[in-house]
Amino acid sequence: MKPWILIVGGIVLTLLLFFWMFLFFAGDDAKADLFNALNFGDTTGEDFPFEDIFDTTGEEVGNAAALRQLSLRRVAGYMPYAATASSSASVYIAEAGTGHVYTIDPASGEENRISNITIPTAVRAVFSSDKTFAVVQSADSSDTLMVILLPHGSSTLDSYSIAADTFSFSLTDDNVLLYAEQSNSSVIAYSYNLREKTKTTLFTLPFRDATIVWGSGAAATHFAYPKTSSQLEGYMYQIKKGVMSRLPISGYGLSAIGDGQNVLFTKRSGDVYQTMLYKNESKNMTVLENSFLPEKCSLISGNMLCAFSTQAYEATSPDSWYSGEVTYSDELWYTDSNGGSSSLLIDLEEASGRQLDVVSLRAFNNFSAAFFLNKIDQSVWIYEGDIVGNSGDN
Amino acid sequence: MSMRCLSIFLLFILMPLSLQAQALGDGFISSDINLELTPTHPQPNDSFTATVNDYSGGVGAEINWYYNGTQLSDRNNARSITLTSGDAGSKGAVRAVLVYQDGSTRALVAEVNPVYLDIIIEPQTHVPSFYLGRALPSTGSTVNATALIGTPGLSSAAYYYTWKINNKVHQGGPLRGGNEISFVMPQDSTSVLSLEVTTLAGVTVASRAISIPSVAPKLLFYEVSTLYGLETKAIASSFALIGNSATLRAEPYFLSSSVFNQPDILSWKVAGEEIGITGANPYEVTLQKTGFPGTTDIRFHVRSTDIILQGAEKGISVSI
Repeated sequence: MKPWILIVGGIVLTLLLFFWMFLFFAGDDAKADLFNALNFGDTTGEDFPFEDIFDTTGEEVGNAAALRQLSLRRVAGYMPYAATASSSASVYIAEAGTGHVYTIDPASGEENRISNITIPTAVRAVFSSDKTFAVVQSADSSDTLMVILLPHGSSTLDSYSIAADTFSFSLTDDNVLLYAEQSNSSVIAYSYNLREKTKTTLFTLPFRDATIVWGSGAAATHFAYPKTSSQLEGYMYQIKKGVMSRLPISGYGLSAIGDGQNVLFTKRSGDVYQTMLYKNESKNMTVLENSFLPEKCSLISGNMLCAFSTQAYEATSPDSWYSGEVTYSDELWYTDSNGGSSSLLIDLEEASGRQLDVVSLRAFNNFSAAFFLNKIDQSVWIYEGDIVGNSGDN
Repeated sequence: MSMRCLSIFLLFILMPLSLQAQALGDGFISSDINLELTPTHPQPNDSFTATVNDYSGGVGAEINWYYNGTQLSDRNNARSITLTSGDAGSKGAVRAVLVYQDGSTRALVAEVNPVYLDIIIEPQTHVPSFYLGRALPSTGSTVNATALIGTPGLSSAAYYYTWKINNKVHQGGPLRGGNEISFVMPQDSTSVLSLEVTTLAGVTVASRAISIPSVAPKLLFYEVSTLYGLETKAIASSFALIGNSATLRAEPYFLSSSVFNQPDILSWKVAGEEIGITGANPYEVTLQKTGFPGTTDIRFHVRSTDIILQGAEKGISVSI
């Protein structure tokens, strides 16, 4: 008999002996001592999570394409900006988990960290348009909001915490933080001037589970509705100068976004979902061809850029999407404010080879580009195709 | 004595006949003819149906319809017509004019003063903090209901609110200024919550009925990252332990908040064996990679022993 056969056989026998001894001696007491140890006795299961094993998070798409990933980091929030009116877009991002702020040049892919203030478990961030402030929310026990003073011609960094238990916030162009806190049976909305450090009560909602669609400024029109549920009815309210009034919008599964003058909303109509655009001034209601989730849309002056999945929305939508049980693979669609007809711009999965479930979609510079986050891995993406000009070509 | 009894008997028999004759004498119209709106108090810009109900047993009449003063000629003689209410706060009226064969007429009028009456349901059940939707009620959980009536300038104290849950009056009667109530979700799969709002003078301003579903609590598992916090993608049926350890959290959606905070039963099982709760959060378990590659089952159970159907149990397989 060849010696290598003896060696291999010996190793196999030794391993089997150790395994048998482990099973024999590692009884209940031993298990109890283990810190939530796993007893991997059953190896017959056939379910194997290929998706998780082959997670493609961080894979970068080629820069030449109109669609590309901007950073390998998980992003809590971003803001595209242009140094001049004619220059191309650059992006501020706040990294999820750390709150560190970076600038990214989409053309070169160059990334620079401009704030190293660490905000543990940073989950959401917004920026002021003049690039002076970033407001970052931490998913700690109190959902604290941290305001970071960004370098603005100086290298000095500063930060301070201003609010806890905040569930909704936005930053206006004039550096006013709009945020809302829940009380026992209501929601109180405040404005906080970041430069003057003054706080004002904006309005109170007489219910607690609210979604707020913030206006462009503290004095602008805001919208609010009870949080979306496919099985409970929602109602749309507008708040002007602190006074709440009802809009003729209601329904099951109601969710909405607004741009001050227009409201884009989706609700269940029988067994199907229907998306409509409501023009506040003319009180005109337009039914759109496709059923969009407003959380996947960007609305500017009634024109809208939306991510849309051909996957039919279920009766439990969008609840199952909120809970992370369902993910979508989206396309980008453009709809103008007049006709209500929608045009396909790009199939994101086909173009990227990745499943892209779009959130935080923002049209930039009169629809010259679009930015969004992928809900699945919080990666930030840019689409630089001609959105308005190409609409209807596909 | 017998004459006296006979007199009283005749009085009771003849008096109603006399009153009925008076009513019929007024254009042969009795209370058996009425104009009914469905719903009785339409919301603004909502469709509603106006119906002439005639149970008088008469020979019938020609019916001419008017809405806000305009005759609806194309609806002549229809027993029932469908209309659309006006904007919030507008005053309107539906009029049905009955013309009898002898030339006499009778006008039936119903006012249509649409106001928004919104009933906002806020179940006190658990959902994770990242969940953007509203929680749903489950049997035995507390539900808060808030009524918002769209009449500018009037506070809720200007009205009486009569709430009914499955046709049973809440708190025994109308509540002045009671636009907010809390109630325990009944065991039915769907409950009907109805509300009638009346002025202090007793005039009904608006009424609505809505159905509220009762769902079973459901468990979803999520990975907890030290850096990023709770992941927002639910673990479907299996979880791959890639590193040396991982923390999972069980989120019992729509479990009553009181049960979530103080459950009677809360347990984790690994491969069928119950394990102790070691961390600060009993809804989390930390898994460590030990032994040989393979798969095992992890199971979580949370339940109230007092409130029926307040509990959830689910397992997933973990691969190493």
